[in-house]
Amino acid sequence: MNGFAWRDNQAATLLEEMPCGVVIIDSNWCIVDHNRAFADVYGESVGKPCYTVYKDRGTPCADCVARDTFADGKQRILEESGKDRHGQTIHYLAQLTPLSEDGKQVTHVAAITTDLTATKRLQREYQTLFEKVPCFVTVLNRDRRVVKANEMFRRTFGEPRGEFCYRLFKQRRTECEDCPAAKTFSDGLSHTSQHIGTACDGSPKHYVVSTAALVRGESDDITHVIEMCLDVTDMVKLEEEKLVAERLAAVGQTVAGLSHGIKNIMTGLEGGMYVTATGLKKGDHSRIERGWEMLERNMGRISELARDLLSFSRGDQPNPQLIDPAQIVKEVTALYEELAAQNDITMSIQIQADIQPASMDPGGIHDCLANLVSNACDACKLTHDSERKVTIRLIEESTVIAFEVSDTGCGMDNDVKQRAFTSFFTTKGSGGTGLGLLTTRKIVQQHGGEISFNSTPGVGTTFRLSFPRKRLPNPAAAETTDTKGADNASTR
Amino acid sequence: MSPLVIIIDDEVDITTFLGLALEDAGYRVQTLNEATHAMELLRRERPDLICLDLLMPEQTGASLYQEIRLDTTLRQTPVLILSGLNAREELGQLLHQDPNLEPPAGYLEKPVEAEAFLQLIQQLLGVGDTPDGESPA
Repeated sequence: MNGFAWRDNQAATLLEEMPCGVVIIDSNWCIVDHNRAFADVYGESVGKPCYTVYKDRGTPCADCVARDTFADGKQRILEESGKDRHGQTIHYLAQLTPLSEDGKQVTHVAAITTDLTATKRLQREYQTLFEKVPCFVTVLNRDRRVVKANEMFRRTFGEPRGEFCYRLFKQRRTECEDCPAAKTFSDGLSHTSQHIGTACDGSPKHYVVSTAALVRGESDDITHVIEMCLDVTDMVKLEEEKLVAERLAAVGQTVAGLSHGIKNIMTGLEGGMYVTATGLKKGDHSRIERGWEMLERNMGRISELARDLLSFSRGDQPNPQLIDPAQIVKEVTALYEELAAQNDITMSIQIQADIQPASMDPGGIHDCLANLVSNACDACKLTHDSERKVTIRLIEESTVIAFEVSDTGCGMDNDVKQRAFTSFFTTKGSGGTGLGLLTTRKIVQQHGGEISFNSTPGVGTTFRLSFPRKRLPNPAAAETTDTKGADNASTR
Repeated sequence: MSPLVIIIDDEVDITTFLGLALEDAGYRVQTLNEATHAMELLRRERPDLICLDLLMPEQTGASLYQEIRLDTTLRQTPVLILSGLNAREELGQLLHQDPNLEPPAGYLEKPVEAEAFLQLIQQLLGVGDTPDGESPA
């Protein structure tokens, strides 16, 4: 800049080196001076009208703000857009400052322009992302009012109009107890949880919400939190449908399996009758006794089958209470210690410390664990290895409580693995009805959990019951109970 | 010497029943209630016929049957499959999985009656009458 009379050398250098465009305009809209940053964007412009340089126009702008500054001598800041020297649209922030040689009459206006093009592009991209992302996205203030919501949210839950988030998402009158946004306002960290809301058409919406601190105030306190919610309604529906399909399949298997179980018992009875009858014919008392024992044993199996079938079919709903899962592990271990010792099986337990009480049906979980431990002992009995071990573990990882029962028993081949959860499938001959694992799976599913296993023939098997805390049923009684209930329930 | 039949079934009552029925009919019988050591016994004894349950711990009858069919010494031995499940369906699945597998000589669905069992054994062994001529009870 060297053509303008008011600058001294220092000011000229300063203006020249400024990282934003500086331009001086006279009262005829003619550019009389500018710095290098301005020239970089608009080209050499001294002597050209400002409206031509900024806007590529042939006449002054009708809404010219510089005109007002010339008239009233006041400074102004405005956001504008125009064309650069290559004809590209640019956005800029301009600060207009009046200049006067005599301190009275405004003879020139200095415009300092800051390029906002990149910022504007980012804003546009952010806006597109915010609006079009296939999630419900809201911005909440500290009062839990929704100050901004994206397209998918508005379409599903309606216009926010500054309403409380809990009213919009869940049609509640009060804040949710486990509000993830409240936690983020408090600790600044992200929180994730699953919720059920109600859409404006009244349909339920399942969503997983993640929160993050979005805006901080002058004292670094969080003023706004963003909530991003993934709609998992279809997934939940599919899960429910899968559960129904599994139950229907289980009914089919039960009917087919019942026939199988009865056929085996009938063969035993047929055998008992044959042995008794031939014993009578031969006058062989030992054979008669043998046949009679077979008849008695198979009659007993019918009773056992009827009892297990009843246990499997009844008690559709668990009776959840807040219990200490470790207590159940200890009780079941105590129950099988003697049996294990008799069969040279070493039983051990590994319980992770500090596992908090959980809402479970003590009787049901006791039955599940007892069934797995019983199976593990049976598997060990089938091995000829000297080292027979059953290990029961209780762990919690990422709010999933898991009971694991491992054995060094005979293991299962692929065929047995595939049939493990088939009703009336048993590898124990007359020693089992084949309903144990099926009943266990039913109880585990009622708790929102999963049963899985790994097995290697000749090496052993590990069964795992996993219970995500968030899927556990609500406790019927609020207070923690001891697991004495398990004693009652073990006879369910 | 009368034919030797080996019965492999994890249910003791069933091996007792069928074993006695066969002995009464004059056959020589050996029984086994687990599949793990079955191949050793079969190779050693070389029976004239094998009765095999489809469902047993450790190793199922199906995989044992496949092993028998692959064994050079036992390949020709007739096998009678016993099943508490739907035997035809079970065998169909097995043969579908392994198309090269030869079907068993016979199958019998539980519950098994002594008379029908012995008749089938006779038929499979190609003998006109039971070895001692005595009819079962």
